[in-house]
Amino acid sequence: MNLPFLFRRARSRLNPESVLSFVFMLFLAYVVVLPLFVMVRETFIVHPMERFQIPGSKAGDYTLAHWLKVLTGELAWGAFYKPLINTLIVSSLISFLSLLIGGGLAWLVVRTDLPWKKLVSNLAIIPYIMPSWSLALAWITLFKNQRVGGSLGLFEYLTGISLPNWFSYGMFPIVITLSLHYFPFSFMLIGGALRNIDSQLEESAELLGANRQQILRKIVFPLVAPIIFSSFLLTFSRGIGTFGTPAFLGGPVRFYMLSTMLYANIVGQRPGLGYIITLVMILFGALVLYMDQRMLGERKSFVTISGKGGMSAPFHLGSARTVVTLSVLVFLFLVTVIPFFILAIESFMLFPGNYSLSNLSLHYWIGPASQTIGIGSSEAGILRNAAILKALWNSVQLGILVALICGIGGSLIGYTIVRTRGTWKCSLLDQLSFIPYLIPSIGFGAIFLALFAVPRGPIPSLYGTLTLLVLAASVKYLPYSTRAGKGAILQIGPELEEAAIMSGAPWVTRIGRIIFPLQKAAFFSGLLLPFISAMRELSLVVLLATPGTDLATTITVKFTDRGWYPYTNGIMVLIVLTILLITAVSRKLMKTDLAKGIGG
Amino acid sequence: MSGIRLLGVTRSFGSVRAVDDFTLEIPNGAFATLLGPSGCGKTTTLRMIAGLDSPNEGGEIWIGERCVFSTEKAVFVHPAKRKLGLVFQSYALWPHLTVFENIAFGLQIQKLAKSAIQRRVEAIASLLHIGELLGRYPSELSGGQQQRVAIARVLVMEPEVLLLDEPLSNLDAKLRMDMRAELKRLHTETGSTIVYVTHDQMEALTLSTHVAVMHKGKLQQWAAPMEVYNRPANLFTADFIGNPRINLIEGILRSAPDGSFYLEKEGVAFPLPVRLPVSTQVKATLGLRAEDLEITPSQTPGSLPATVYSVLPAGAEWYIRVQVKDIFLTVTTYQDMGLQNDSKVGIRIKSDRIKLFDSEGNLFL
Repeated sequence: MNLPFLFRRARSRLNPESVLSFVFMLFLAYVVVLPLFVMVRETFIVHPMERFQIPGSKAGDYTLAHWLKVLTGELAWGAFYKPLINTLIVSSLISFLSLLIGGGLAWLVVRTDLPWKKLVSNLAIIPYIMPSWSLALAWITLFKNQRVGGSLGLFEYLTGISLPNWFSYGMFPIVITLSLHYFPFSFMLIGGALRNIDSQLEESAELLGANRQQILRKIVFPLVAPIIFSSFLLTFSRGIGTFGTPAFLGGPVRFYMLSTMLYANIVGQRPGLGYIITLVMILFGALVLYMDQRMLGERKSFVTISGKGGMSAPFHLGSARTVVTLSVLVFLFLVTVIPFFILAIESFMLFPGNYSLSNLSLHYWIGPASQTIGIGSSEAGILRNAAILKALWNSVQLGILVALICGIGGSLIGYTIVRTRGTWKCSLLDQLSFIPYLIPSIGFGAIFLALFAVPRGPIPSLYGTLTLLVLAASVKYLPYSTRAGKGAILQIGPELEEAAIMSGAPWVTRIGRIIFPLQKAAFFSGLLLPFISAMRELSLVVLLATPGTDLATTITVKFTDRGWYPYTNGIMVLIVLTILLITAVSRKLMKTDLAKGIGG
Repeated sequence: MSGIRLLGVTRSFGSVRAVDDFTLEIPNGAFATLLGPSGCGKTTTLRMIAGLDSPNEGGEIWIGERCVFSTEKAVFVHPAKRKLGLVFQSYALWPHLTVFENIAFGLQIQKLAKSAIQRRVEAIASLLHIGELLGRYPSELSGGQQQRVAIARVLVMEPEVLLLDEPLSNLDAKLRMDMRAELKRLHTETGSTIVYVTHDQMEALTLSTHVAVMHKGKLQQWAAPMEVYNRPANLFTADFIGNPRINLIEGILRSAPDGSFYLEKEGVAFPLPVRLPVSTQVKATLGLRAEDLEITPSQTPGSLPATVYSVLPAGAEWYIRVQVKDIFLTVTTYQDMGLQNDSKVGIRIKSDRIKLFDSEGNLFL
């Protein structure tokens, strides 16, 4: 196809999407593809601090030393293989448990005559919008024992029973708390799939003489099996990249996972080793998602949304109804309300470990900096502590900026993908925008550290700026926003825009008067998820934040490291309150539905 | 008002040529229908006339005296500047705008004065009998009303050419009939050139002045509707047009000792009521419309013995599916002959409007 230049230019005026796809491809290549190459290179060069560990080398030399050390060195077992195995075990277990809890709840809500379904659905989403390690902190507060040192946990205070280490720290609590954080994900995915099964499929089986159990086993389960597998894999991939929980619960007993090992290496000035671990994480993340794509790609058409036919009659819980309802509510209460109160209580106790009424104090909220009161941290109370307030403000800023960038960027990329469908531009852009999804969070942070710690071309070093955090978070959350944007645009038939083209409306007018007004609600929903994600993010930003750009989340790591839990817990309470408040407000004002956005 | 010319237009998607070296000249003021099964390239052709799509392997498109697209001369006129209106299959009414706002949209883009917009919208609304609906939203309208709004939105721009993409396919059967009459009236009232895409042959036959039958991106026939029905240019057109489907019998052409001709297939000889100027002993396909056949009592001289396979009453007529040895044929009768399955009857070719196609599938008689 050899068309004269003028002609091509004339046609491109009709296609702003061609221009957009070009711009986005360039941007994504720079922030997604280039970093991968940079990081691979980083694993082969000697960094300034590493030249002492590698005899006879100088900074910038090429070396295989990092790889040899990780794979065959004498510390390889403890520093790489063991954390790797831990990571795989923990990720498998949390995927399995989340599936069990989330799938079970989904079935109860969608397919049975469980009462208060709306309440159950709403409560079941809450663990997911809270910071992932808030349950870990609550666990520590509740179950910490004195063997590792420090103050008494609430449980030991009340019962006098000293809990064993395996219960208080390490793999067991990590698996439990992360499962309780991730199960809403399975809940929403499987719930959505169950809801979309056309009742006619089940009715046909019923008419052919199948009983309820046979229908469940032979029709319903096979239909949702791909989604079940998919939610298992997606949880697994998230488990690999999570940092906060393993750091807080694993640290005290030296239980390491890849994420905590990666952090230790980067912080300990061994970036070569850190980046190798990052690559391993990405490898596993990509593998898992490749399997998922294969699975869904082949069988995607299983669950179809057909407006026809209602849902088949709900399964009657019968005499078990009361017991089941009660258990579900108690369970949800235990994983949402109780942890929050435990965190709150801790922040009002002057001396940790003493839960008597006389110990109640507002010191950690509004007290002055002091070396003698309470734990004597010489930090001012949360509400008058400049560093903490700055971190909170940074978090809010980050949330707003990331929401705007993701909302607008995701919508535009989604628009471009849908409008260029069937061309190489579409598939390339689609895949590029999906890559950040493959990369476990903390690994993604490490990549951005590698890329932007030094000036590169026209772009100055961004390390130590909020811009770097905004950029990293925006790109990382872009796949979700793009997906939402794609979905929204797909619902608008191309004719609606073509009719406007025929009327002579230029692109900006078409977006402003047709596309945006039609998908306003979806757009505003799309803002909420990146905001919440940014507010509660730790794994992604823990390597990128500096004292000047500390976030509410990263600053808690510092307080936790020093054992100053009242501050940590108080800050967590503030983060959770902010998230809940924003969610509630946007639900009221903009009728946003979070459940729709998270199902990615 | 203007005619439309398409010259050697080719549009391919990947390796598939959706529209293949397509040339067509639609005269000014015609009601031209692009007719064909789904996937034949008719909608793509319409979209290329509109400018929403363009030929990618050469071709020229002219509207009136204006070249709006040419690969060779590097011409591309923006859809909005081609002075044509397109009514989409789904109507594509903007659901968030009222009927008035939908119709006024294009005029607002042109930055017309408010009073002028008001006047023109109201004029077109009354022409299409939707004057009372201007304040409503599309979702509050019936299918037929939405259809009128979609047409009004296009007509208000006073296009020289009106393009309609399967506009009646979303309506129920009764409404479709009414809208056909309205469209035909609209054509005479506005006098504009209309290009109409449909897969419904009844629509094409009843509405158009010209029909272009398309198949696999190629033009099969371009003629007046009755011409297409009576003299289909090839087997595809013959098979596609007409309800019930034409009976096609592929056999060998032979001559009898008395000088008459017959077509032989599987031991059955179909006598042909015509003289042929061609040599015999060649492969040919005989096309018989159901109404060109009649049922006779069995054993009637000159008729072929047949067995009734099934009887399909259709109101004013009956379609009888019969079996002559292993050959199935459909016959139309206009009275209830009280036939039962497996009745023994005879069939006879009753008119001389038979069609004969050569081995290439082209009509030669």
